[in-house]
Amino acid sequence: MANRTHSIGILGIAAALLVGCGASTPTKELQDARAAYQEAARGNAAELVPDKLLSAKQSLDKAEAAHNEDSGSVQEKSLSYVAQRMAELAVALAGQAQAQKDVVDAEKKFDETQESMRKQAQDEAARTTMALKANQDKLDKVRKDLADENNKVGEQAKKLAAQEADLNAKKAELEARQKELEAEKAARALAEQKLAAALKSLEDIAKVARTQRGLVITLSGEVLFVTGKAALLPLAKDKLATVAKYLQQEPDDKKIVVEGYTDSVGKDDANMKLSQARADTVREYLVMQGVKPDRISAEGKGKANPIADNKTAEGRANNRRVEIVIK
Amino acid sequence: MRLVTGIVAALAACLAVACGAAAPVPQAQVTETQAAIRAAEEVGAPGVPKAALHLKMAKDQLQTAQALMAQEDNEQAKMTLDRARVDAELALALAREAAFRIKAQEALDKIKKLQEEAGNSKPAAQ
Repeated sequence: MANRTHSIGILGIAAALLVGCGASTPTKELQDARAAYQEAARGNAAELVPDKLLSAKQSLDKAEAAHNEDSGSVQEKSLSYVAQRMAELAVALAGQAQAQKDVVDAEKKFDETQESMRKQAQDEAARTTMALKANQDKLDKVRKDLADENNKVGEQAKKLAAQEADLNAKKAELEARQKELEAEKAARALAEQKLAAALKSLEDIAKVARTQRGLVITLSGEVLFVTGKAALLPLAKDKLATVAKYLQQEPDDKKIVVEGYTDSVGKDDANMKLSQARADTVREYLVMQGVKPDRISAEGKGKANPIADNKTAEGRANNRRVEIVIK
Repeated sequence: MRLVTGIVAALAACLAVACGAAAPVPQAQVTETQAAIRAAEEVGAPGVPKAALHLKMAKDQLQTAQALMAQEDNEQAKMTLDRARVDAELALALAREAAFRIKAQEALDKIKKLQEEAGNSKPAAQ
């Protein structure tokens, strides 16, 4: 008996299980809800909106519970509908969160790009400015070098001009000196010419000899003086004028001595006096003719320094003479 | 007397059954659903196809619920309102998602344009 009762109990459980299995066939709504939830769970809702995904799960659990309690009921269908929408809502909210994040990321990236561009432009501008500055510096240096070079050239030109002026001055000086020299030379030549001419006319009227004492012009006493006196004969004046002309051609520094001589006839002191007087007369006349008085002197020598034999008349005539010595 | 008492008891029982079967009037839920629908409309759900679909579902179900309420089928009305509410919320979320996607795309376009400008201005600067 007890065994039968037991068997009936087992049968009851099996029946109940059978009924349960029959009831476990889900509605289309529940199937859709499950699929929707699975899709939501696969996506990024778990990461971005975990609370909404949990709500969707709870909603699905309610639908499952309704299904287990009363399969195919209006409650199951309605709760499944809600669960499906809740899963879809989780997906939509996750999408929204993702899009929001995308916006923030994009704005951040925009700002970064803008900043990097701004920085790049700034760097570029800085580089350009630096390059410009370097160029300017180079230009300034070239300008300075050019100016320095110009100054140098200017200074050299000035120096050169000064040197040229100096050279010209020296040249002019030299030319002047040369002219002077030439003039001097010409003057000297002229003077020599005149001297030679004067000497020639002198040699026509007197004996001229170059001796150790200098140039000696010897004039015969017969030609110059009245016998025994110091007075000049008229002809003597012409001759002495010629002598004076010659003396003036001679250089001024040469001293001139007029020496009077007699023969050995007569007293010595008388001869000395006469020779002195005659020398004086000649000197005076020569001074009158233009010979400077300070360079000419007169000396009476008497019978000294005979140039011929006093024993003959001709010799005595030769010894009576006036010598003009140019020293 | 016993009969009257019996009738009253039967009536009371009947009312009790009716009252027990019919849940309380879900007026608060109606208000909430209406608010959810307005919110979805305000964020531009009518302009987003999928959102517009769920918005229409929400509105249709709200109407159905109100009809059920008029027939005093509050339990059915409550379930219908649950569905309407969740459709309205989904419409709102879909509309906002679409709006943010447009915003994200705009931001990406802005970056692209900027990068293009940078690419164009670079060779000119060199």
